[in-house]
Amino acid sequence: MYYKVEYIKPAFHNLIFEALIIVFLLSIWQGIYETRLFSEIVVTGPLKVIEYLWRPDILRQWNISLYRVMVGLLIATSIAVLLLVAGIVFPKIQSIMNVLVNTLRFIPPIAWIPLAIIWFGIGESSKEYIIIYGGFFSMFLSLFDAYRNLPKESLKLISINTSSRLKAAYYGYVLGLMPGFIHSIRLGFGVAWMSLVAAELIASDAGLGYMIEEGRMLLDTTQVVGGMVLIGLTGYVFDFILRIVERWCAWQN
Amino acid sequence: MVCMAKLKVQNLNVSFGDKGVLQDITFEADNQFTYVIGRSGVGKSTLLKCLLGEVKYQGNITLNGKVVYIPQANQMVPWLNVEQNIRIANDDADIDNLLEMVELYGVSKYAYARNLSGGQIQRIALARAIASGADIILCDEPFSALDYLTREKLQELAKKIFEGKTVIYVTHDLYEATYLADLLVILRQRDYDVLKFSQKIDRDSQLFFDVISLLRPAFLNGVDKHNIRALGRSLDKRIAPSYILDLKNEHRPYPLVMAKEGT
Repeated sequence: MYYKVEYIKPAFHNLIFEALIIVFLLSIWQGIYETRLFSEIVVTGPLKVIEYLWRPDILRQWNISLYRVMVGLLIATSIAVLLLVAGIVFPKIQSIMNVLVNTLRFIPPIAWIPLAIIWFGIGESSKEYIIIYGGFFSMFLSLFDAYRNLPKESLKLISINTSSRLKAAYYGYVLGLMPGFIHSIRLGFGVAWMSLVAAELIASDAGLGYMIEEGRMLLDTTQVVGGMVLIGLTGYVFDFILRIVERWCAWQN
Repeated sequence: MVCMAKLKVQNLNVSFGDKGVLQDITFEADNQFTYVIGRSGVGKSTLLKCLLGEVKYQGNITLNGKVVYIPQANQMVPWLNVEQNIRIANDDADIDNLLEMVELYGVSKYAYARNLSGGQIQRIALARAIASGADIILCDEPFSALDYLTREKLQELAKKIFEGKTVIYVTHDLYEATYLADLLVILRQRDYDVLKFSQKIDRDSQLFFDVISLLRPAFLNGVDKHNIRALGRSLDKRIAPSYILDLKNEHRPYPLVMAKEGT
């Protein structure tokens, strides 16, 4: 389709520009490392990090982390969507949800870690709890925002013209909220990904957060930085993909 | 056999607080193109909202048939494309045929509102109204945001495609209303008139401008009855007897009476 091309193009332009900036910053970093002014433990070089990341068992750690986030995000999305549907069907409960959400969302995921460990132990469920908690609020808030910003005249137009309520809901809410939904997944992924690393730092024996923690214990700065770089890169790549999907969904408005 | 009018309004009263907006309005339309005109704030849109059941009113409103509403703005849902915008009214609509009917050429079925002009969006609203198969079409100044020529064109198109359907069309365009209306409801503060036009006259003729100048005072309260009667008589001589029928006061011997006579 013509429009697709028109709207994805600027994203690739940005990509080239951003890549150039990253290469520039990396070479400054490598330069500082090459001066050998600091010890290997304090500063590690980007080439060393890249070399480190080439190891096959890194992929396993990355896989574990990504799997955790995907499961958590899926559950967080389902809860957010279910609550949104409940809010649309029964508008009266919206105010209750608002009070709850606006109080709870100021408690950061990290603050829940002790309680999560007490409740769920140190297995997978406590980590999932932290991820779901982190991802849910940003998703729910942005989904509700998208719902509030749907033009009421358009919804009225649809409901007057359609014969069945199911059809009206499809044309009005499902299609109308699609860009907002993708946007909320993007936000939710960002927060869930950060919450995951926080959870893995404390009680874990695998994953990217664990990799960093292990590196700290072994005084292996390359491993620490390698974990950090992988976390940043993964977040960036997923955000980039979701941004393209979001643009493609939003061009109609 | 009792013949039921498609749309019947009996003793309609609407007031907001203690301010009466519509007072004791009675008219009926049956497969006619009905224009509702009046100055701003006399309750034209309120009358439509009563018909849509969005405003509390006293009196009786009877609608026999499926109703469709064409609003003043946002006639296209921005997140749905042209095809979906028509499909919301009818799943089996023949989109290509409908777009041809509303004379919309060269527009993709998959285009969105932001790529379309105001006139094209209105045409899609018309296509949706046809697709819905409604018998009663309520229009709230749908073309008011367009330039004069486009508006004229679209109003004539609407008249053409809604032939044989009951249309209530709210506007303040007296010129278009006089030219296209079968039935003309003129709303004023606490007063109204219902006129029926029995035949069409050329809109460029002197006669047409005479009719306009006859109707213009009807917008206001202070109408000089005698002048209007005289003009009405001369009009009737020039075109046909009873060119304009005053339906509200039809018991009168002479059909053309613009102002409501005092007691």
